[in-house]
Amino acid sequence: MKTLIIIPCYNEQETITTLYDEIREKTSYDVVVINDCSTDDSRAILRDENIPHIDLPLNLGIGGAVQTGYRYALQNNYDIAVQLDGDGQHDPGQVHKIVAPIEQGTADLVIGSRYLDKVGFQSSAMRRAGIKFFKFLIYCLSGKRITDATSGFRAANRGVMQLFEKNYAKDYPEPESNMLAISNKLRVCEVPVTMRERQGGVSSIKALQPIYYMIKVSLGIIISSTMRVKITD
Amino acid sequence: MLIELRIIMAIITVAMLFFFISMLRKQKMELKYCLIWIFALLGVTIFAVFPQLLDMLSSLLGIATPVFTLFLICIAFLTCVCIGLTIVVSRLSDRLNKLTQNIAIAKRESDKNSNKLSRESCDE
Repeated sequence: MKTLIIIPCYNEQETITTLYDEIREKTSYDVVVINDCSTDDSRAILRDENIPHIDLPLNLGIGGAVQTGYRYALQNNYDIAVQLDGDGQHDPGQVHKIVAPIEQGTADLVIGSRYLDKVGFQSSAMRRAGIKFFKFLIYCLSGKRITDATSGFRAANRGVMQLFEKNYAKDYPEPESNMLAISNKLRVCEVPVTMRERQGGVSSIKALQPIYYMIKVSLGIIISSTMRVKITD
Repeated sequence: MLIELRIIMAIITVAMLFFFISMLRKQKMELKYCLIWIFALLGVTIFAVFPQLLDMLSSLLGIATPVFTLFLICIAFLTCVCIGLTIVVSRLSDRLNKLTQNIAIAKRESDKNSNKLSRESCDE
């Protein structure tokens, strides 16, 4: 199956080359880096190192960047799109794990969860509490247990890509989009992965008020649970 | 209603009307979005010319002071305009998002093709 790894990149000049080399070393999947109008040297590095990339002319935020990747994957007839963060949190050596259920045809969207085996980087207590709350909320709304709804390490088949191309939140998109996939009758499953502490860059959540984040994402999940997106080819 | 208030309303209306016309002529505003303000001015003019209307409306709504009725109408109108603008902004940001993505992808495809072409011409 034709698989594409999508890497959203915003000011990741320190990590992007090492990450790309690591992916090349450990996997044979295609890669595309979505440069979200970085203000550092990311763009020049991507060009000079000959890393396949898409330069967004405007900063769209993480959601818009990842959505570009899904759009590109659809247009280029990829069967599977994998999302992998540009800061080195996700181990390219584990991509095959989250791709496997889709290749076997047992899932449409696979989330790499760090809380199934509880090994590797587990994030701060505050974040874990937030993630537990999302798990509770999604469980109440759908009856599905998603232990790591904020995980940006995911694999999607074409059905999910079409859904995300139509509708994808602009900021903090993961929990909402997981809910959207569930409410649109797609099979969502989790597989255990180990994550690493970020090697560069800053979390998109850190700078913002956690209260705003929790309210926005919770509302997003609730609204997504009521949405049925029509997909037309 | 006080005659002073009516005069102020009339002056503001005329001034705003001129402002809108000049903005439209300079194409800094679209008639489509400006139209609502012109209708609002028309409404203000009607109340300034026929203050009895405001008195009637006030007694109908059970409001003692007609000026408060005017405020109520203004607030309701402004709320509607703001909600309308939020909808317009959301639509614009959605379109901009899509446009940006499509331009970026098209550029990537054309770069891929030109690379392929230059490689082929090197091979020959």
